[in-house]
Amino acid sequence: MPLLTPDPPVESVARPPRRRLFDNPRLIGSVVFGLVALLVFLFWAATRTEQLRPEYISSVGVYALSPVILLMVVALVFVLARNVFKLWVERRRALPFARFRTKLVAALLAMTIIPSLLVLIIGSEMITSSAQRWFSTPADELVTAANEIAQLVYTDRATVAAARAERLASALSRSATAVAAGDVAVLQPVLASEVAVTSTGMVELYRSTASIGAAADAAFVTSVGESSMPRSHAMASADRLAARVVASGHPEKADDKIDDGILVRAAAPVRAPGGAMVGVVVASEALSGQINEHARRMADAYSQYQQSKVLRGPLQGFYLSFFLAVTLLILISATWFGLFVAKRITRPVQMLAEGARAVGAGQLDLRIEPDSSDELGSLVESFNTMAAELRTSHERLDARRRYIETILERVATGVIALSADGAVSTVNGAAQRVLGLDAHAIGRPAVAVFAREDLLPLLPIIEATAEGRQVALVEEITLAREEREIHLAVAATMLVADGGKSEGAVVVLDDVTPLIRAQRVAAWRDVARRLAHEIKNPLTPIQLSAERLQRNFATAPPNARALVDECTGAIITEVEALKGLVDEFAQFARMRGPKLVPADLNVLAADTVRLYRGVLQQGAVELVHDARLAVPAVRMDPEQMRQVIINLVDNAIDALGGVAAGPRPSGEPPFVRIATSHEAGSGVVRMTVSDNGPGIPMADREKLFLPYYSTKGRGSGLGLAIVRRIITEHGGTVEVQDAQPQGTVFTVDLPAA
Amino acid sequence: MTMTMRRRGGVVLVLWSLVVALVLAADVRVTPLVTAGHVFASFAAGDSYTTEVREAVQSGLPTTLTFVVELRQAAVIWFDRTVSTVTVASSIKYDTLTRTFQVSKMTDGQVFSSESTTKEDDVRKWATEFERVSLSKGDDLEANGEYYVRVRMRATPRRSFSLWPWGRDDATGRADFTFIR
Repeated sequence: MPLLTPDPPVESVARPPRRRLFDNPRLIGSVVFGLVALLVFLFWAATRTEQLRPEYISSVGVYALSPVILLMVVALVFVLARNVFKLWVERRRALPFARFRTKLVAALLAMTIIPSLLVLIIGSEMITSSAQRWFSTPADELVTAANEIAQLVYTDRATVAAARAERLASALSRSATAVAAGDVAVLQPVLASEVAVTSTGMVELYRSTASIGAAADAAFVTSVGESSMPRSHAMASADRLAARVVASGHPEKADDKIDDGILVRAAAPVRAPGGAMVGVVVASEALSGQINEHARRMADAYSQYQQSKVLRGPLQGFYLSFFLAVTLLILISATWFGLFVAKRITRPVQMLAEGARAVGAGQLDLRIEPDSSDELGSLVESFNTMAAELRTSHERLDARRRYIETILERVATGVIALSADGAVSTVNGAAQRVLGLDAHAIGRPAVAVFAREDLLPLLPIIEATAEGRQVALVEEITLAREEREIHLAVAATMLVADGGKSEGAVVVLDDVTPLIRAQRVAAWRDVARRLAHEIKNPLTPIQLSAERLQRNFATAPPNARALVDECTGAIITEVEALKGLVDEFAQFARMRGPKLVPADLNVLAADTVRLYRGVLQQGAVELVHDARLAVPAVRMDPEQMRQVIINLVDNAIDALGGVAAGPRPSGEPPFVRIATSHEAGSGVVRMTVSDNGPGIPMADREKLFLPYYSTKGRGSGLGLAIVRRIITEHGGTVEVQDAQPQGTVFTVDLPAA
Repeated sequence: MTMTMRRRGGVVLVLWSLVVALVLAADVRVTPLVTAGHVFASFAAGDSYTTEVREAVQSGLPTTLTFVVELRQAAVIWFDRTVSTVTVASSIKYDTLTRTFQVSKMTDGQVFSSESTTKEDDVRKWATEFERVSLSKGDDLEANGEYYVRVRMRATPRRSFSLWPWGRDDATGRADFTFIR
């Protein structure tokens, strides 16, 4: 039977914390390397933007940069929100070091975010200021003036060409017929003289080919060019220009790109004196060489300046975005790294705190895996060592506890422990058996447990020690339990702490019932020996004297002889009876100690029952031996044990009315039943001898085992006294109880071998 | 004018009388046209030639006005169905030396017209007006179905900066009509 104490904490299997993905040094190294590489790339890209066209930056650049920035903002918000939420949850759950970690994270974030934002604000302001300086008034005026100069150069050429075309058209109108006819011989000198006068440019003459029902067109007639004119200019453009003039009837102009410049063309209609258009003259002036180069350069510079000015917003936004992207990248890196460092610092401490809590809760096999080999790692190792030592100590204490529990469980002395609040904390097996308690008594107030009617005699002692009124108390009390008396020697001791405060009490119970019984038997044995000695000695002279009287009066008259015979006969008979009685007493007094040998109680009972076969009549008392259950061997004196069985069976047969007893009032036949069983829990072999007789009144039960007590009105009254003495000397007990539904049952408990 | 042309003109007039064109108050004026079952759209977005566009053009930046013309059918409980989409664009290049504008017009990336001028009014007109942009041959349209033409214009390069440069139209226009076969 286990000792009833509260269960010790169950040890759990140690599970060291798993290394998470972000604790992987290789991964961290890769991320840091990637970030540095990205920063280097951004720096390189920033230096290259100067070579990119403004419209390219403001379109492709912005489109490329925007998702990067948005991605970074999302990443930053995610990192911040996730960690802030985790910190909030940790603080809500009051996890260890949550406050410390919050402060650490806040400090690291402040150290990261505030400088980054300052740099961003200052940098943005600088970019904005720089952009304003790019388009300052002097620069604006300078490029505008340069462009106007370039335009004047071009305009000058265009004006010259237009004037020449007009002049030639006017001159050729005088030779309208030749123009209409395409007479080159007439026209060539006119054109040549004009080219010769100006010594620059080229002139081309077309005649109008307008006819009824067909679209007007211009047909090339002749051309005269100055030697410096580029020879590679496109004639087709002059043809188109002439056709346009023919179609519109007004002067037109056009430009042609040539190898090293622009060919500025002006066309004017040649009209006959009547106003009809007969031809078109196209005068071309080349804007080439260094003049063109400078003009073009000035125009391009102006154009680029204006484009930059027009795209100032997107350009400024691009550079700001670029700067913002770099800032965000640094911010994300610094934030993540700060959070990572905060975790690296707080996690070992947090794990130690959680580990200490777990160890305190009994999880002594917990081991924390150190994350590093620094001071925190040493602290973790020290913690692990401490936990291991605690576990060893705990195991030693546990072994000691089990040892004490085993002893407590095996001792025959009952032990009850009370806690400081008066509750029952421990009840060992012996106490449970003696007092009839069970596991439900644990944790209940002792006053309530011992308020049970059969335990009431114990209550004053329990109360006195539990309440601290008595430090130590020793008493002998008698409990009436299960129709028998139990004599207990009770010793209660209050447990006092160092400060004098009560820590509970321990009550030790010794069942002294067998001892008292043995004392009684010993006393009766002494009385029996004295009685036998004192009574038996005078009986023989009395008997001899009575026989002598009988012999002397053999010759006396019949009346006297009859009187003498009657008297001496009575004396002799009673003396014989007294002798028998004294012999039984002498036997009881001189009964030897048992010679114990292992024997099977079932075999002994069967042999004994066999003795009664010739005695019991058919149809009268039935003697049954129930040997269905095998029992272990018992160390016993077979002769004495047979005596026990015979005495109990005889007692039962007498209770039934003798061997020839008729059926019981209930109609069932009288029977005596012997049965054996094994109580494995208590190591007891039990034998019961029961009958269906009238039973034994409660008041007579305890006296039954006393010598000279008999309810039959005959015999010495030693039968059951001998039974108890033999059983007691075998280390067992014998009890009497009512049988159900009727009769008596004697229960003999013997320790198994 | 031939008989065929005259008959075709009559059909156009009849169809015009049947087309219910609701020109919404928008930057782009859209005019759907159904001729012999063929759906066209003409639109003018003169207002979209804004000062910003003008300044961009005059700076010499090659400036493109892109018009996405969609023929769509309205749906009650779901997104409207796009029947067809045509992208037309006009690209303007200004030479600051010669003060000449070059305007090229494209349909789905193919140049179909190119003009030069020194007059900005011509540029505005050429760049923002498109005639008879073909949207559908009518085979995939329901008779008497309600449709609308939507035109969205974007000018590039953009002069304003936004961290979200996508999905912003500079001008839009819409016109509803009933397709009668």
